[in-house]
Amino acid sequence: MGPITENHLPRGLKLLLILAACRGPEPQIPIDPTRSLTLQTDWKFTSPFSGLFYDYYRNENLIFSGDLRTNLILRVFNHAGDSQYDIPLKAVLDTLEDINSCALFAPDSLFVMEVHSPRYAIVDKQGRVCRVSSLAHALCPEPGNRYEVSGYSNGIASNGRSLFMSAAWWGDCDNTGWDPSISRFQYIQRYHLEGARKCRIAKIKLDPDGSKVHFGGCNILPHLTDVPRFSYSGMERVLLNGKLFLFSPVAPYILQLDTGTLNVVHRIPIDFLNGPAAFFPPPITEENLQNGGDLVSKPSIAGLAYDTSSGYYVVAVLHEVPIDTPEGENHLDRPWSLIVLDQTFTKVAEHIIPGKLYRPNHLLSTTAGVYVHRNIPGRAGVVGPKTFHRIILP
Amino acid sequence: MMRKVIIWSVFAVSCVPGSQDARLSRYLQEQIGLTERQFPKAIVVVSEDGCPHCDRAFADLVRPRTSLRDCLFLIRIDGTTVDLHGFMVETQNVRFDDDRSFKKLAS
Repeated sequence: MGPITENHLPRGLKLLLILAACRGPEPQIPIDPTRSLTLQTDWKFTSPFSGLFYDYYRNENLIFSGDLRTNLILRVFNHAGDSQYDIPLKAVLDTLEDINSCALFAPDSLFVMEVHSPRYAIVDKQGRVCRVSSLAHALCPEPGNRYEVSGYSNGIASNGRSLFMSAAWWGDCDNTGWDPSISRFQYIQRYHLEGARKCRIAKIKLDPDGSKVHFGGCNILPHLTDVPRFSYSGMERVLLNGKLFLFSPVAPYILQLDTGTLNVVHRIPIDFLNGPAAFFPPPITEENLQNGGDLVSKPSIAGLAYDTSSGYYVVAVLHEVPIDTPEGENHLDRPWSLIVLDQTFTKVAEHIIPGKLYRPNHLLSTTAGVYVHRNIPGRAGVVGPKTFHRIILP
Repeated sequence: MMRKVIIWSVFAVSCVPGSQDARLSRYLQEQIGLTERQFPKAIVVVSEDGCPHCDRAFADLVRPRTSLRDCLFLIRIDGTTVDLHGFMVETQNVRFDDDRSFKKLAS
């Protein structure tokens, strides 16, 4: 039999081959799937119970990922993704009501925060609860303001000496009730207007004799203080290269804070494509009270990382999608911009990454480079290994 | 409270209007692979869409009952707030709904 030529092919198949050949090239994205980091876990990688800890003594990153529901362990990996040890969580789950977030603050010590509570526990490498304590004494730092601390949004940032969590303002220390002389609408307006000026971050210094909490990052979103707007209290925080950064869906900039005073050191504007990487919340009206200004479809900064070898920062910005985008496709499955900043925070590159391929909110800044979590949809993404691909930087 | 949730799940299935009834019927046949004679009397959805305490309590209630005949259990949890034990393997009447196709029937 002679060679098969196109004349031998059925007409339909020929057309299909022509169409396939005419398809445009695959989009080039600066992510190298051949340089990957794999975490062997059969649970979901979730920000409040996962993260990085930099071990200064061994000069390496430890990566951790916990499962508080099914396996009840927190697994610790080295920077290459090799499993090092498991910390059992059963004892701490039996001790605390429920867990808000947790983080390694030493290779053998885990800080665990209770949900909607000032209580926390310290757990050792064997899973023993070494201490249960409370921050209640510190959550009203001055007359008039009561805060709740949380690491739920993107985890607790730890530099080994302090833990950084978001601070949510809950109103007055001595009067937390709803003033019956005003309507619910007025109450919400007042809450957001006052809340926009309150502190956004808490630094916790652990001490057996009474841990100290320092609130900072106060009144750092001035563009939300003119009239009552949806001011969303939580800000995501990340420690990179010894520096503390905050970002929020309602701030078109990243803020660098002094890790000691928690005052703003730099305000770094972030633009993507042709616009600011944030949602400017509208004034609160009776009409938009229920939807919160439809924040979910708007652009926002989803992640920030730092590459030690090149000195570049990586910012992930979710693109805006139509308001009627179906549920499940309207959040992290959106296309996003991978923005590269140099040491002076000047943009040096921007790449558009198609949606659904990666999880832009899961960036790992390890000593070997910056990695982004490969998205595996469905059950396989939960029970299968978690793979991160290395971002290629200029 | 839990009893209410179950009643609502069952009620939601039994009260779908005409066109949705057809959609549900097609879903059960094409996606779940049932014949009309095998249609369940109740569909129970285990999800993580509500308050975490409620979702956990509901899952704990359902977990020992997933072998109940005439019931279809649709599992839409990834272990973020609910223990996956008992919901990790698909069986004839325990099915994953990770792409939320059952929920989309109502839209």
